[in-house]
Parts: sequence; C-alpha cells; structure tokens
Amino acid sequence: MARVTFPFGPQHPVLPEAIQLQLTCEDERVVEVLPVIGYMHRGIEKAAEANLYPNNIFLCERICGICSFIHALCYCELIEGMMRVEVPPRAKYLRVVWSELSRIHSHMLWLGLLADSFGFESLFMQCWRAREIILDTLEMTTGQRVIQSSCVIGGVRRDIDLDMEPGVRRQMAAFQKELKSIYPVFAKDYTVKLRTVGKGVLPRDQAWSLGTVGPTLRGSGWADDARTLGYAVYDDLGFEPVVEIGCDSYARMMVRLREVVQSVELVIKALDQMPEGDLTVTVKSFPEGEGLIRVEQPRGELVEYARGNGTAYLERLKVRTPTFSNIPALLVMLPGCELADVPVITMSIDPCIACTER
Amino acid sequence: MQQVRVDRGADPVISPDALLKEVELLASEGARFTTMICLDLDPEFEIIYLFQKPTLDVVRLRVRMAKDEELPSISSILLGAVLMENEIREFFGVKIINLAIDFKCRMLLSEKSLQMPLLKVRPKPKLTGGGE
Repeated sequence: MARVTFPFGPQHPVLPEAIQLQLTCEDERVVEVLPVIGYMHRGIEKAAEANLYPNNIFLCERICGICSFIHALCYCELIEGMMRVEVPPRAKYLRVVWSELSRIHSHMLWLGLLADSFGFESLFMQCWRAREIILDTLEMTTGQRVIQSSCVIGGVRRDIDLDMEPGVRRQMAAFQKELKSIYPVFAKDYTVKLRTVGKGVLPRDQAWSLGTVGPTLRGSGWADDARTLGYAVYDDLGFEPVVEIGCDSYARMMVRLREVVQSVELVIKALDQMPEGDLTVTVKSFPEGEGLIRVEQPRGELVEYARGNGTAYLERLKVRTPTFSNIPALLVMLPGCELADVPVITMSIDPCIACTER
Repeated sequence: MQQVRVDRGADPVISPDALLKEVELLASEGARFTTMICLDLDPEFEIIYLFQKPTLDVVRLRVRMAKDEELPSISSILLGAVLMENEIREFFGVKIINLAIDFKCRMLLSEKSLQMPLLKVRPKPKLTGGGE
C-alpha cells in the first residue's frame, strides 16, 4: 500500500502550542511518526547564566504559564538545598497549597482540551468554567492568576491569613461541587470511553524504559511521583501517588482526574495543618558547588541542576522538563493507530512545548 | 528529605569509550535514562548522565572528554536519551555519534541562531587566507 507522509501541526486546532508530528500513513493507519520541535525556543538556560541568581526565579516562572509556580518552587528549593537554607514550616505549607492549586488548574485545562480534541464542546466549557474558580483563588491569595511570583529563596512572599483562609475553603467547596458533575462524565460516558479506551497504548515496561514521567508513567502502572521524595511537606500530608494500570489514554486521563480530587484534599489538609510562624528567612550567601533536585509538575517530574561558584551568578542551570521525557513515548503510542485518534493520543501526554523548548 | 547538594567526588568518572558498556550494565539492572547535563570546563567537556533505578534513586555517571573527541550515543540502548543528546550536540557542539534520530543540529535552533550558544569559550574562527 502506498505511504503518504504529511505534517500534523505545528498549527492545528487540537494543539495548544506549536509542535509538528510528521506522520507517515498507509491509508488511514499511522505507520511512522517523527516529532519536530523548535518553534518557540527562548534560550532560558543561557539567560539564567547572565542573571543574578535570585532574579532567576522570575525567569524560571516564565518557562511555562501553566505550571509557573512549580518552576519557581523547584528553583528556590534547589538553591536553598545548595546553600543549606532551612525554610520556615509555614512557608512549606503555603508552597504546597499553591503547588496543588497550580496542578488543579493545569489538569482542568488539559481535561477541557482533551474533551475539545474529541469534539465534546460542552464538557470542554464545563472544565474551563470550573478552572476559573481555581484561578480566582490564586488571584485572591497571590494577586496573580497565572504567574504568581510568590516563591522566594528562603520562603514565600505572601501569606494566606486568617481573614483569607475561609474564602479559600469556600472556593474549594465550590470547585468540588463543579467537579462532582464533571467527574462521572469523563469516567463513565460512552463516547469518552469510545475515544480513549485502548487508544495510544504504552505498555508498562516501555513506559519505564522510554523514560516517561508523571501521569504518562503512572497511567502505565508505575507509582512514581517526585512528591514522595520529601520536598515541601508532602510527607506530613500523607501523600500517596495515584496509579492506573490501563496503559491507554483513558488510564492517563483517569490519573489526572483522580489527581484533581487528591489535590483539592491536599489543599484543605495543608490549610488545616498549617502552623503559625514566619514566611521567610534571610539568605545572605551565594550558591557554591553543584545541586540537583526533582519535583513533581502536573505533567511529571521536573529535574533541575545548578552549578554555582560562590558569586551572585550561576555557571550553569539545567532544566529537564517533563514533556521532554514524554515526547519519545509518542514513537510507541502513535504507530498503528487510526489517523482520527492522533489528536487524542497526542493530547494524552499533555504536551507542554513552552516547557520543552525553554 | 531530598539530598540536593551533589558530591562531585562520589560520582564515577569514565571515558567516552567505556560509556556504552556502563549504560548497558545499568539498563540490565532496570535503570532508565533521566537526563544529561553538559558542562563546558574548557578545554574539556564534562557530561553528567542521570539514570533512575526502579527504587526512584538516581545514579550519576560523569564522562570527561576532550572537545574534539567523539561520544557514542546511548539512544540505541535507551531511546529516551535521543532528544537530550540532540540538544547537547546542538547547544555545545559535542560530537555525539550514532544517534537513533539525528536532527542534524536543527532540533531547537534555526540557521540564523547563534550556534552552540551554551559554550563558555567559543572556538576561534579559522583564518581562511585570501588576498587583499
């Protein structure tokens, strides 16, 4: 049968960001795929070498607009670890609250986009309407909806005080009410299952060997989540990774859906257990030597490495984002699928190209 | 609590020739590729390989090499490394050979971009000679 190679993207209704898949098809079946990136590289690692090290927080936050807070958190925890700075307990709890709010709004954005990718427009709008509650909560607590700028080296810049806390709890209750109507549609609806069950299968052993991370890995049966490594206060909150064993797009979707439920619980638990105390400690020295940290982004494990020389500038900052590790999985998921399933399968890794290209 | 500070002295340092054997051994123990970090320590490159064991522990391996030396790709053993190898080749000019997918230094940068942008010391342009 004749083979046809054609581009899928970089501009495509289902792709929120620019990535191209060079698809080779036989009739309606995909036989080969080559992912092509390079449409939005910004040179952030190079820029980080020219900035004063505290200013890199603002740079790291701009790696991605969806998981901005966790990029800042990762960088701050990295530098704090290198400089042996002990962050006040209240700041650690606040970091968890904002991290989990970021995870919820990222997953809700993705769930909406997934619904859009298989043409379920009303579900798409319902997800994004619920996400607004979370963005409003972020605005209420940090002053910003997308880039919060609340993490600093040594703690956090803002507080959720006693006047604000009941408002956050009310917002969480309102969101839970919305989620209650969305959850069963994704989990049980016939058309959703038809488009996701058995699509883009990533076997358990290949999910591991290809280096996938986050919900892409956990959807193939691996309980691998950097939140178990003990940064912030996830240990104190009794965190357990969400795992599904289906290995398909449905399993990856269910991981994210269940993580939304879990993140709401983590936010409430963090508010319940948050101790009184300072928000920051003063940091006076400069980073020296090498540091390496792993934190969990909504899309998976974020790895950052820094090398300092005792001055105000870093010699090297390396950022390995989760999508960078998840793209090779498309080489396994897409060959053999129907052309019509390419959008859903591609979306199932939750590609963030701004993160990938930095 | 996660150990953030890295003890350089604790990491094994190997030559490019020994890389594939070490990676094969790690892969046979169930380790997978996490990432690579390239450092321009002029006149050498130091490349830190990070692998993750099924226990979530990270294994580090350092390769130190001259700038004009060739480094074998590990993508034939662990395909997940292929994008990072392409990036390091593009950003530092490390001569990585036998890549499973070769973007020929056009994965992230365009022809008009500054080439090898993460090098600390840029190679001097060759004198081409010629008349007045």
